[in-house]
Amino acid sequence: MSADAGIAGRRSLERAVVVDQVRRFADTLGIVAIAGALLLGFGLTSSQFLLSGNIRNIFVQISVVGVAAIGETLVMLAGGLDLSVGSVVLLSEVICADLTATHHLPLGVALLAALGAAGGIGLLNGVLVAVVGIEPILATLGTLLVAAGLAKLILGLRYLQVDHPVFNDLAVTNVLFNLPIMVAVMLGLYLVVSIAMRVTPFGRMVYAVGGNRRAARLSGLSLIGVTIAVYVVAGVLSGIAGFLNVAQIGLVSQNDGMGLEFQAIIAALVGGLSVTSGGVGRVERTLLGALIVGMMTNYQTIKGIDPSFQQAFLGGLLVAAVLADRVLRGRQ
Amino acid sequence: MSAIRSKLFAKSYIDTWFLLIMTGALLVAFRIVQPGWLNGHTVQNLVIQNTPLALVAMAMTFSIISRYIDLSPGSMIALSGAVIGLVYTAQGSLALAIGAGVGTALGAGLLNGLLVSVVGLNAVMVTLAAFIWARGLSIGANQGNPIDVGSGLGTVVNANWHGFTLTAPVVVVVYAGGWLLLARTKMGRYTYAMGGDPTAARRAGISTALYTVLIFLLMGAMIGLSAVITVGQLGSAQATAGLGLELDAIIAVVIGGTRLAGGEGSVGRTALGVIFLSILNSGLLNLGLTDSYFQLYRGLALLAVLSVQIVVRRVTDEEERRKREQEQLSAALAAA
Amino acid sequence: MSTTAPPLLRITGMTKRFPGTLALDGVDLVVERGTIHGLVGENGAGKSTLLKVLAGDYRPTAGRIEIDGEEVDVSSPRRAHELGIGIVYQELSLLTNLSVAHNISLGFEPTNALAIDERSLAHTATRVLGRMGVTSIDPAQKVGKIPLAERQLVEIAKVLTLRQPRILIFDEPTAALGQADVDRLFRIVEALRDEGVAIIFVSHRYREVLRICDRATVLRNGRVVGEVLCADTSVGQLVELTLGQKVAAAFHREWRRDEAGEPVLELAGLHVGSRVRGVELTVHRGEIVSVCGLLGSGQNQLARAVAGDATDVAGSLRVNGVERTPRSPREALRLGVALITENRQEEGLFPDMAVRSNISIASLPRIVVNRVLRLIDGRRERRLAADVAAATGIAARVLSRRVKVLSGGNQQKSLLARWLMRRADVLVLIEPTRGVDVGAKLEIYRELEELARRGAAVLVVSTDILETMALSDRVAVLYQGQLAGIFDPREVTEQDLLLAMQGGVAAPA
Repeated sequence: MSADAGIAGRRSLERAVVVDQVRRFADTLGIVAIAGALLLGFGLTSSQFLLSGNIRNIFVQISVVGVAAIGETLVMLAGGLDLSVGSVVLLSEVICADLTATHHLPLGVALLAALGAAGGIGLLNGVLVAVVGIEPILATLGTLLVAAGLAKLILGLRYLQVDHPVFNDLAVTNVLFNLPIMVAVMLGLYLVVSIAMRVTPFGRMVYAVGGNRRAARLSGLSLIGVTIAVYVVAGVLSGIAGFLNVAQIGLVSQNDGMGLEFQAIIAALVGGLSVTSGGVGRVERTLLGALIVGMMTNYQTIKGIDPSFQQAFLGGLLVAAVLADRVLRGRQ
Repeated sequence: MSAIRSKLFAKSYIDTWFLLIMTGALLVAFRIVQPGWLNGHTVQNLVIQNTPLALVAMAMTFSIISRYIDLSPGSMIALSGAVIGLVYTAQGSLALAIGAGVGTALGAGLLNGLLVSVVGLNAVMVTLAAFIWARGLSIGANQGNPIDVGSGLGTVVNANWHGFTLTAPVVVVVYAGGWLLLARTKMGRYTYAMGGDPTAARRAGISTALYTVLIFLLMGAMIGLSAVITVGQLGSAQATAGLGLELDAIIAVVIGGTRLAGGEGSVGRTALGVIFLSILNSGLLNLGLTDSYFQLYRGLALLAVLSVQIVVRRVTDEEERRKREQEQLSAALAAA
Repeated sequence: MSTTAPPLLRITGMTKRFPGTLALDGVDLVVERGTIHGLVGENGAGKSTLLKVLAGDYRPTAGRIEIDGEEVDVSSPRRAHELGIGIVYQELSLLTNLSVAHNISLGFEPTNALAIDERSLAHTATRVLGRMGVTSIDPAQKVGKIPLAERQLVEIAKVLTLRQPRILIFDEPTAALGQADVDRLFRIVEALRDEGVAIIFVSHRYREVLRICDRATVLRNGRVVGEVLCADTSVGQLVELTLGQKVAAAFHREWRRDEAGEPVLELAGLHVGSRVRGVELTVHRGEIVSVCGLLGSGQNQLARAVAGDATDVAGSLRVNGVERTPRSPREALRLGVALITENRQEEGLFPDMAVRSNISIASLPRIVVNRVLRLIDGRRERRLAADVAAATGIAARVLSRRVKVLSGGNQQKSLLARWLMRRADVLVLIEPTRGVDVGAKLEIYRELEELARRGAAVLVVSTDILETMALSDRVAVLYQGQLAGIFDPREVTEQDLLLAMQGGVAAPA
């Protein structure tokens, strides 16, 4: 007897498979189509949009959020949430800038210290969520305050100006299609993490924990280990994002990084991360999401739209993304 | 009498005792560091400044018990305020302006409620979106500048009686009403039902869509009220109003003992949570800490309280479960 | 019974489709007033779906419902209430954080101005429970604190509060009840019938169905395959209709272990909270042992404790001679014990991952290459997955599909494949063939036999006595958490087991 138990069974399997495949195709096609349509639309309605200088701008603008969004994607894939991203970025920036500009330590040391601190906050997040058992929203809210407090403690009331050749290099020197090194770093990170999620056991485990927590536990996976790991990775990536932000702006101020976590979440959701089904989404699509958001923001700026209204638009975009997720994937 | 006594000391109230002790400890600590801090004047200020927090936290209790979380209140207060300001500037009528402002808050509550209950979107994301767009709109209303509303509203809101303003009785009435609503009415009962087991609630014929929208509308009402009070207190609508309020409200509810997982909680507990948080915030502010220390200590205090709360819960849950199993065991043995 | 008046309930052509399954396919059902109509079929046949459509919980894909000759649209549970349709759910729909009285009147609380009239509520609860002859439940007690059997009684009480009940549905109402409560329930149901209510009674205990029902409809794979007059039917005939083939032609063991198998799993004095007390059981290599009992007798807790998924475990547990009580599934797996639960959707499968990934998730170290970089070897994974898929009867072409589109049978086999790849020594399964069609059921039994032949020790928890008897080498019966006896299925009858499950005494093997 066949494994599908008869014709009726086979037909429903086939139908279900086809429906599923069409949905997934529409998913991927949809987002690429949207990106393409935006590109076309914006290019046609603005003479500035498609200039190579502007395209370069877009990529530079999304680099910091882009890197942070990788970490946020991983955390959300595993079923969590990280609201401390912005503060960790600030903390990393402050440490980098302070150690290089004020204490004149070598850049490598500064970077290491910054990433260490960022990873430390990530570790704290992971422990609070996985071991103590505090809800991610509340735990990362707490670490948001702690990290921001620490950062501002180091920064004091000043604006730190950083004028290091390496930083300048990152932002200015062009490799790869007229795009600066920092953009290449972002793209490189996306490449590495995307591949890692497909070919490493860690990647599988993240999808498993996010897809079905109880099943993951019964399959012998360590929920605590995976959870702590994603938060640490998110922390380190936020640290790198901070490093890139210093390179981009050359100036560190108190309010840096504020609201970054929300931009990261929006990038991930626009990119197709699902909130109705856990463990559904791909890191590389967050890049697409960040690009779409970046294009929209850039276009609005070109057209002279007030930043506050751009923010309002971003909120609306979030609703649209969640709506699309719901339509495509059905109620949880 | 002993029945009341055993109830008061029951395991389920350990949370509350813990909170009372913590609050007491805070007061003592602050008094030691800054004697003379807690006088009639500061208490009055405490109440006046934390009224929006108290109001929003009351409604947030309902949201959290029914398993939703609402991240929009802070931004929505600012938006409501902006609407009040804009309508007043355009029409000159305070009544119209207030109506428009409250209407905005209620409308947003209705929208969010429908998106969550009828369309089925994730509440965190929907309210997060509102958090973002409402703030954007309120900043954009006047390029970030305050919008003046004249002094009419201020005379009502700031009217003084021995240092206390109108807001104190308002908070008391709201909490009394909220407590009644949650503990004694269908809406309250269904809030618990939806949070406890949404499937069972649906099967019992409860219209979860209706009651979810009502809960969001309740929040809208509190937001509207808070906006009116905030605008009245300052005489203008500020784009930065309510910054961080929603998170404070959530913290107050959770610290009060309501679990984020839903299905249980009470307005009384939230009241305790609000008191604790107000004292913590005011006390820290009063120490003249710089912004950095303020955030740092607040974050550490928050994490510490949440952690202890969870550990305490785990221990008491274990004990309760064990006791219940023993009871069932002896009942089974007796029946055999 | 008048033959000219329309039947109280007529369902025509009822169809319900879910993504991936056709749960109901053109079902017709007629129930006259003042009769008790049985609904029979194995798990996954569509019984529960039909009931949920009738109760307004599901919306039909196609079909008509007529009550008293008039077509109705049962659009929601509230509408069902208004139409006089009440249902006692199999999986209880009680709110554990509310009291018994509140649960009984949930959704229809009497109000005094705006507030709930608590006194009236308590009165209703006392009245209804009294009518049922139940005195041991305190209406003010929170449902979360009362035992399972009492909860089932509260669920039944809910339905008795209907003002004008016309159609009442009982879905497996006796699953957790002892004999005394079952008799009490039957008296209530018969009284309702005498009042003219149309009653639909669902149970997989055929003896009960034949005892209390006038007629019975048999469902298989979402279709009606027969309707019988209960007075003229035997249990055997019902079973035959349900399975679609003669009982004798159903599963038979082809291989049994020789007696010299060594003990793999040894339990002595095992306690799990208050749910399992002092159980002593040994499972040998190559043996299939079943544990059965009424719902709530502790068999699920026992199974989970063995696999590391329970708290408050005391007593002795040895796996392959190693004395250790696993505190987590991870630890249990290190000992070689794997668990497949009764909820493959909530606790077994990763719905959006491919079947292959679902299978290999517990064996990641086996498919990793390169000790330094630790990357997954795709080819190795495909090869191993194909091997275990062949051994468990999963078609090779579904390995790349996402597991959520598979049939119930294939999904269950994927879980078996997972543990086959992991090379588990002890396989613990809870309700392994729930929601699985007959063909796949037989294949799963055969695969379990094969796993045993290859040296695994298999522990099965099942409420299906016939399945249990056909499949197992030995059957352990639990009653109220204690071992009531261990039987050889070849030497006892179904009645003996049922009796033991309900606390009676039978001669053990």
